Amino acid sequence: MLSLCFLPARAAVPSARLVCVRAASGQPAAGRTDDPQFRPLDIGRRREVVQQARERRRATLPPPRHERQPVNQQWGDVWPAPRTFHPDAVPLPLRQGFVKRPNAQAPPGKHANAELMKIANFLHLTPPVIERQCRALAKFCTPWPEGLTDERLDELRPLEVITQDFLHASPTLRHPDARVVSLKVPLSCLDLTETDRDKLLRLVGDRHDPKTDVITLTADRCPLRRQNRDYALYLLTVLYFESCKREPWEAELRTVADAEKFVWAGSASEAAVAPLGAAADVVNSYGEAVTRLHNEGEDESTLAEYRKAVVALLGLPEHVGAN
Amino acid sequence: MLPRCRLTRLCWLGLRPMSAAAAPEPAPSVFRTSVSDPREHSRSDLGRLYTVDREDHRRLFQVTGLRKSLSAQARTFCELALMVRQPALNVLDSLRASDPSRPSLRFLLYGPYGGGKSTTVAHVLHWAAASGWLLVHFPEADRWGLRFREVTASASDPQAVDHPVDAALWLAHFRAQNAARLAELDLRTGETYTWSRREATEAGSPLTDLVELGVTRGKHASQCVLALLAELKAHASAGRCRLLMAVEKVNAFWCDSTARREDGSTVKFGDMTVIRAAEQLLRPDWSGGAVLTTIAPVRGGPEGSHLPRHQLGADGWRALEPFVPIRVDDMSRAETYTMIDYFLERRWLQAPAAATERGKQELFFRSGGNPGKLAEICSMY
Repeated sequence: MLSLCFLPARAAVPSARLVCVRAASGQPAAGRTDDPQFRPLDIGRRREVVQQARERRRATLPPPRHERQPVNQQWGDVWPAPRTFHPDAVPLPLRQGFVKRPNAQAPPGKHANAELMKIANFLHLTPPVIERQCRALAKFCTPWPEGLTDERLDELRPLEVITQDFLHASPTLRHPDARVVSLKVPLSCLDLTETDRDKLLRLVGDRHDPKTDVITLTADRCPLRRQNRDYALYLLTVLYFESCKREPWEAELRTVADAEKFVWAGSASEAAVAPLGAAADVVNSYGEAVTRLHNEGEDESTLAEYRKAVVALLGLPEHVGAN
Repeated sequence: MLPRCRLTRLCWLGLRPMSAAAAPEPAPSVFRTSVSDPREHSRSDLGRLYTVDREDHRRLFQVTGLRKSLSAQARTFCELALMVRQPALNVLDSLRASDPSRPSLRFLLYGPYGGGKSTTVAHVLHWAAASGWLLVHFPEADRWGLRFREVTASASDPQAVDHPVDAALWLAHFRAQNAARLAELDLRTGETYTWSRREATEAGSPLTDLVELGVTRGKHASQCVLALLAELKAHASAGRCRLLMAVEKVNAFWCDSTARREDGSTVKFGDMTVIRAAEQLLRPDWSGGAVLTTIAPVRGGPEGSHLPRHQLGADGWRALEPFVPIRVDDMSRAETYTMIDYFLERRWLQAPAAATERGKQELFFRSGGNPGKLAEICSMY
């Protein structure tokens, strides 16, 4: 218009700019008049257009496999071997992943979930599959010997070697804790006298469990499991033979204070009570009370027993000891 | 020379005679028993308070011997009232039944702090004094090594340690408790004791001479105690007297003291002459008497359990066994109510709510029946 105003000499040519190129879609935009001469300019992909294209594409795809699987299918046939997690094949609504606000956000779903894909899954080892495999292996097995009960096994094979194997997703095949070997031995299976046993317990310390009478030796100082196992067995051998040895100074230097338990016979307590000249059974019950007090620890019950025994020993009125 | 003014002050710090108008007469009530002679105490007096006769109180506990709180209470109430409880009756029954020709009985009282162990000892001492026994009473054995006034190296044994002032004071306490009975018995020394070139106590002199010498000459006081207790032991074994030794906090005997020798080495309680004197009577080689001990946690002693074996240690156990361990526990509800009634009667508990059932329940709950705690709480109301 402006050009027409200020350049009257030029011929009135319709401006080429106004002749625009219409967008690929032949549909006019909403609210625009469908004027064949003045087609509206459409720059960019409109949301509805894109969505419709996507839906059309999707409609041509079949539904995901987990929607088509029958409920009574054999899972072992669907997932026969170890495989990276595939969301469409697994009919479970799994969610895995970190969210910043767990109260407000749900963890990410299974589709395109790198976390689920990274970790090892055991979908190929469901219980029915394991049962099937065991049944297949059974024909190569012989029956368990009848007389071989757990107790008999404890007698025949008292030594227990404990190792751990690790499944992990890592650049290396080796796990550092897989080299650790533990050895559990019940002391009853070792041929030990009282003094041998005492010596062994002093050497072993905390590794002995007084309730089960089992010593546990753990070896982790070598890089390989086999080396650690050999070391643990060597340690057990050395412990046993050292506890059977006797040093010349042991007999000379051992005092009452070194004894781990109170022994009534020959003790200072027995000597203190002898001059009283009480009856043998009274003295014996006193001895038992003193032994219990020293060996089981001092508390009101052992003290009450001691009190009763002393009152009987000294010939005092019974109600004094009944307190 | 003992500071006489100090002794006088201690004497007069005890019972001060008050006018009849100021001291309220105890009205006959359920919580008191009229039997004030401990020789006649029996099961029917259990849980009730008896009043110690003024003369006996002055004689037995004039110099020292009661816990500070009990002593202050006796001064405030113008009377010493002790509760007759089962542990004391057990000890008394045993002592009454004991045979003087047999080795001496040993008792050990243990229990929670403030539970009444010292009060039980006081009751038994009263009984023994009334029964004509001689008393050897060490009120706080741990003081000899922890809060002593002065220690000096002993003349006879350089490793041993004497207490010039404390031993003299203790002999004054012994004299107050036993003067009358000693005079009656007229016991004599069995051997000669030479104190210095000029001083000696000949064999056959009365034991009171030993006591007087120790009270006046602090330098020889500890040795006097040693000699005195040895003599008493011999007399008791010979049947000439009955002897009760009461040692409180006896577990201190096997601990380290805070005293140091000149070379810096620690003095054990066992190195002290007076403690060695007491240990003579802890041995089972004498008859005609009994030993009553208590244990309590002391500084420098083993931490942890308050029970006898742990507190005595191996050495203490070996020294004392066989002994009768008697537990002195907190008071029952009935006994606590008795104490509260007593405090009310003495106008010690002023709050009117304390006389109600609800108030007594609250006091029992707050104190847990512990006598020491109860006295502490009641002093606030």
